[in-house]
Amino acid sequence: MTHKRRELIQYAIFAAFIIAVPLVFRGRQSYYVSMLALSGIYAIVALGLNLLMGFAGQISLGHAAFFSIGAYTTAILSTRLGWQPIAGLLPAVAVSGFAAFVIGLPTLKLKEHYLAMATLGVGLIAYSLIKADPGGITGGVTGIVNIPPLVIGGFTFDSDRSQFYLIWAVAFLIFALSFNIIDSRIGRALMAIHKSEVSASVLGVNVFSCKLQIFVLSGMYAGLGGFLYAHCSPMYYLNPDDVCHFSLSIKLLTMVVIGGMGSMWGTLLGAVGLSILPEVLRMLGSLFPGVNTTDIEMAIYGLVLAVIMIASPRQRLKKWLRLDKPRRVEPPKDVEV
Amino acid sequence: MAHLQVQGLHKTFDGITAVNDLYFDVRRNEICAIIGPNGAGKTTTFNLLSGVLPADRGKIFFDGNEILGLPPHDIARRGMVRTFQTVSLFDSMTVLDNVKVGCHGKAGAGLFSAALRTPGLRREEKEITKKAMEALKLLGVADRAYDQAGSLPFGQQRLVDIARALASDPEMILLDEPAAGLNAHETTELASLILALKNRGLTVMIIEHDMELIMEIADSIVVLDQGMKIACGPPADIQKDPRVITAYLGDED
Amino acid sequence: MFPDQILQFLLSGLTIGSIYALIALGFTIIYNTTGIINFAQGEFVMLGGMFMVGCTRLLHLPLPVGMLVTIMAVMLVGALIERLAIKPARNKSIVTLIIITIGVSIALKAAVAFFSKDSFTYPPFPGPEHVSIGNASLPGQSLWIMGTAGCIMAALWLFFHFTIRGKAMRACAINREAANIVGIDVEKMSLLSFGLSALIGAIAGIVVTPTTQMAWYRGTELGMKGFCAVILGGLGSSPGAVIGGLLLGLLETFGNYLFSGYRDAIAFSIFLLVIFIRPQGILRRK
Repeated sequence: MTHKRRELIQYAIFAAFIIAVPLVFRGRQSYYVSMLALSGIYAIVALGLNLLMGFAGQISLGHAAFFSIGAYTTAILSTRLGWQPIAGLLPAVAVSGFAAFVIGLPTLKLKEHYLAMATLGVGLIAYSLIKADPGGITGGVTGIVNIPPLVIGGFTFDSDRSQFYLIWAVAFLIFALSFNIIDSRIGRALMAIHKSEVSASVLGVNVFSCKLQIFVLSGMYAGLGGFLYAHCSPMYYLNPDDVCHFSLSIKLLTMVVIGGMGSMWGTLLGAVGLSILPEVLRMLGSLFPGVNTTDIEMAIYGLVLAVIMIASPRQRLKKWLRLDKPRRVEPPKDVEV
Repeated sequence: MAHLQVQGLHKTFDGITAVNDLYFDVRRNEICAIIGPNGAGKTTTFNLLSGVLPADRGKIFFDGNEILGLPPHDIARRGMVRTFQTVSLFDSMTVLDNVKVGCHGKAGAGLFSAALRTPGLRREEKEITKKAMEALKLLGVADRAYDQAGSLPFGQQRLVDIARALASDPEMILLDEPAAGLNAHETTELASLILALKNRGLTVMIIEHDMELIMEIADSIVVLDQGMKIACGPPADIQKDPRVITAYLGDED
Repeated sequence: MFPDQILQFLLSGLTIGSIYALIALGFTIIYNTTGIINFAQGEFVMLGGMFMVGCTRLLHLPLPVGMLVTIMAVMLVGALIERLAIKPARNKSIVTLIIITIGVSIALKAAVAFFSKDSFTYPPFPGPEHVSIGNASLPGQSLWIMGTAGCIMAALWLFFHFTIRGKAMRACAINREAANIVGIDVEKMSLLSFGLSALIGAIAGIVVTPTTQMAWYRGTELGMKGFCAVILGGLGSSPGAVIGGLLLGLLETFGNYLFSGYRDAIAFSIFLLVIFIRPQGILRRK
């Protein structure tokens, strides 16, 4: 089977899953559809984070900040200035991307620690600013209510099912675009940088510019996720604790780590899996009254992050399944070897 | 005009002088070897030339343009590329993709055309693939193009490493001990390869310990000892130079 | 701004700056010995405060005993982190180590939150309630904070310059490989650095809690401030950590007067400004 063919089959399975979910969960179970819709939003953001972590070898501990910048930008435009919801898309993505640019510009020339700390800081600051609301635009702790749903071409995305399809269509698109990026000049340069910055640079790769581009892109993905969240969130309501808290940044980080940094399919599964986790914990929690499941969720993230990084179970699994042997890729037909 | 002019190049590490007020020229389309005992500052010189390390002072003219202080990728894009003593292929990528990275500076597709797979990008991709395959063919490892780079035997990795540097059609290549770790047969092939590069119009600088190889292929030799140039000239002169003999064998008194 | 006010700000700035300096020293010790930025550094401070809350308010231990127990407990946590999380991942990439320490930090936070999500404090240490210097007035605890910080800095200086262990750690900071070659047990030094950082963090937490509130989530913010101080003084420099901490405390206090309510944003802006203009810190040459 050629590379191209396998890729197409994978995409087809992915699309089939998307189409099937709302058809399977109906009636009383439609709650799961809205939960999985939310996981699609996280998947978009996590895919960007995966590009940054798995390919550029950088780390962001504050992606919730970019997410909330996107969400608040569009929410403010559509509620306070009366913009059409869809008109907020470009500003949301652009402002998030610009924020990433400002953070990345000084930090990406330095060691990985600096971006990690800077993003951690930006997350804390964004949270406290949104909560304190100095400009009187974010609504402070109460947040922003009555955000209008998206209207595209006369169709209003206000049901669980329509929002699910919209979100996952975007996620599918972002997934395909990200694959294209990996399989391009920039993608190869990023993988080269990840292995050795010096080797990449003497081959003509502008290391700093590549890293900055991918960081801005991941900020834009987060902004896009925030945009979708604002217009599709349950109750059309934004609140700093939901969109900007440090724990969201950690949740996104864990999605990427659990799926295996650098694996796009893994990130997708990680995003869906961790979106379901609170529900699973809530069910288990009802068996143990008095236990706060959100604390347990946090503890799980922390332990998962540390343990996966220490024990690298993915490599072990690959070794055990004998998948770690060097592979030979099938050459495309139009290239003579 | 010389292809490369090095004037007063100087570099110290924590007070230890690694390269000491170095002057030399490399003519266009010659093979220039840098030799000297261990710790003579050969690799440091390459690191300064390629912009990997900043110099303390001095000037480097490549094609008549000052390149000292430029970032490594800029120097590479101007046509001076290098390899390292230790081969570091991007081992999880295929051989072909490794070499394609070498074309990075010559191509211009950005994130958005890549994400959208524009026709322009596809054309460029094809062009890059062609270039990379040509470089692999030149080095005789085209049959391994679709193998994972890390799975190749050491000798072939070295060839891929050189192919990667050549993929951008450079004017000048700096080879840092390319024969290290190769067997006699591979070394002979390497020698003819370097001569082939010269025939294609490249200027070659080479650091090497294998004197037989150097004497066979080099047009000129720069001898370094403790960061200083102690001799330079054609191989025949260098072989007879008493200072060189002293530096290599030690003072016999 | 009146001269009295300036003196007042100076004193409160130096008080909080001493805490930042201690946290910054914790970062520096681990970074110099192991090359790791310990993102759980702020958690040591939080644990110091919270254990002390437990010792004084739950177990009703006398102050000195409570301190001793707290310090030992936090040092044990530090040592366990090094043995269980850092040592097995010794040779992995920077990003991997960042994720490990951040994971540990979250797990610690969650563990404390599991017991209580409230904010706690305990009475200041014995001494005058307020001290007047000129027309400025300072809580007595501030003297404890600055005094303790001063003592720790002096003790560290003696340790690094006059003991064989301290000298070995400094050797690791200069060149880890060379230190290994000359027979310094780098792994033991790594353990020691985590223990020492935990010790300093715990003390910072113990002395700062009476002037503020301690809660499970405070570590991240304190750690962030400490790191800002590190960057301000130059990553890897101990005098830089101290000066950076004090300076950050002052800038924050004066800045808070000018733009009230944006204490955290001020620290972070300083951080971005420094890495933009002078990434090597204010003390170091390029």
